[in-house]
Amino acid sequence: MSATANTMFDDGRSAPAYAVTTGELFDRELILKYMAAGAFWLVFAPTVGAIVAIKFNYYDFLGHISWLTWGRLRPVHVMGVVFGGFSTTVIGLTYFIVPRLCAVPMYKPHWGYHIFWMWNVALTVGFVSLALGYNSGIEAGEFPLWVSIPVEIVLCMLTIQVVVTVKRRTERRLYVSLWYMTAAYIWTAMNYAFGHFILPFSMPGVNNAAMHGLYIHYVVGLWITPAGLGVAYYFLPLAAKRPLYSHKLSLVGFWALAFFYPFVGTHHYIYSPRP
Amino acid sequence: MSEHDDHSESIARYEPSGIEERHGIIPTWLAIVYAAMLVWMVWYTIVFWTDKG
Repeated sequence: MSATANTMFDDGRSAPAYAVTTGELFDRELILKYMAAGAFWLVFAPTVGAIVAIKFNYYDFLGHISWLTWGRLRPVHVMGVVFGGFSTTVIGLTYFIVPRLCAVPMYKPHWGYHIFWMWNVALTVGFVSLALGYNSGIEAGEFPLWVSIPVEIVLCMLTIQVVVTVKRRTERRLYVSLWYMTAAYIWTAMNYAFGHFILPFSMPGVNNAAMHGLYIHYVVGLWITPAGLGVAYYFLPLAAKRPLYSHKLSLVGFWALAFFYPFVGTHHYIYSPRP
Repeated sequence: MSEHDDHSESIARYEPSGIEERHGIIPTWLAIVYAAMLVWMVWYTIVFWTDKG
C-alpha cells in the first residue's frame, strides 16, 4: 500500500517522495487479516454483552442452558471486548504504525502470521472454555491456563518485535506513539503473567483482592489506555493535517500515566474487608 | 518571560508517515498542577500506606 502522494498539510507543503514509496515497510495483507478478525470480535463481544444485559430484565432469558447463563457469558463479554475486539485491532495497527514511525520494517515480520493464528485460536478456545465453566476466577483475567500460556507467548513475541524494531529504527526521534505502544506491550506482557500465573495460584485471601485491584486496572491503564493513545497520536495529526501541538506535552502525558495510574485499582475494594 | 521561543516553535517531521510535530511547551499552570500532585502523592503514601500516618 502506498501512502498518499497528495498534499499532506493544508499550508501547501507536500508529502516527501519517500512517503509514497514506503509500501515495503508494512504488510498490507497481514494488517487486513488483523482488522477483519478485530471487526469480528468487535461484533461478537458486544453482542454477548447485550445478551447479558437482557438477562437483567428478563431473568429466564436463555437461563436454562448452562453455557448461556449470566455467570458464564459475562466473562466472555469482558474478555471478548478487552482481548478480542480491542487488542486484536491494536495488534494489527501496531504492524502499521511501528514500522512507519521507525522507518524500518518490523523485526521478524513473518512472526505476525504466527501470532495472528495463535492469538485468534487461543481467544476462540478461551471463549469456549469460559462458556463451559472453566474460569480462573480473576476478573478480566479469566482465561484458564491452557489459554493463558499461548496468549502470554504471543504478548512476549509482540513485545520483542516492537522493542527490537524501535531499537533498529533509522528515524532519529521517537514519536510519542512509539513511547506509548512500546510501554503498553512491555507492561502488558508482565501484567498478563501477573494476573494469570501468579494471582490465581499463589496469593490467597484479602491480599489476592488487593493485588487483583492492581491487575485489573493495569489492564485498563497500562494496556487499553496507552495502546489506544498510541493509535490516536498517530492518526490525529494526519487526520487534522496539522502538526502535533507539543512534543514536550505529549511526553509529560506519557510519564504522568506511568507514574500516577498504577495505584488507582484499589478503589474496586472500597468498603470491602481489604485493609 | 514568554513560554514560547524559537525552539518551542520548531517543527519536526517523521518522513515515512508524514507526521509533523511542534517541539512545543509545557504550560506553567500544568507544571504547577503536576508538582502539587507529586507532593500529594508522597504525603498520601506516608499517611495512608506506612505506620507513620
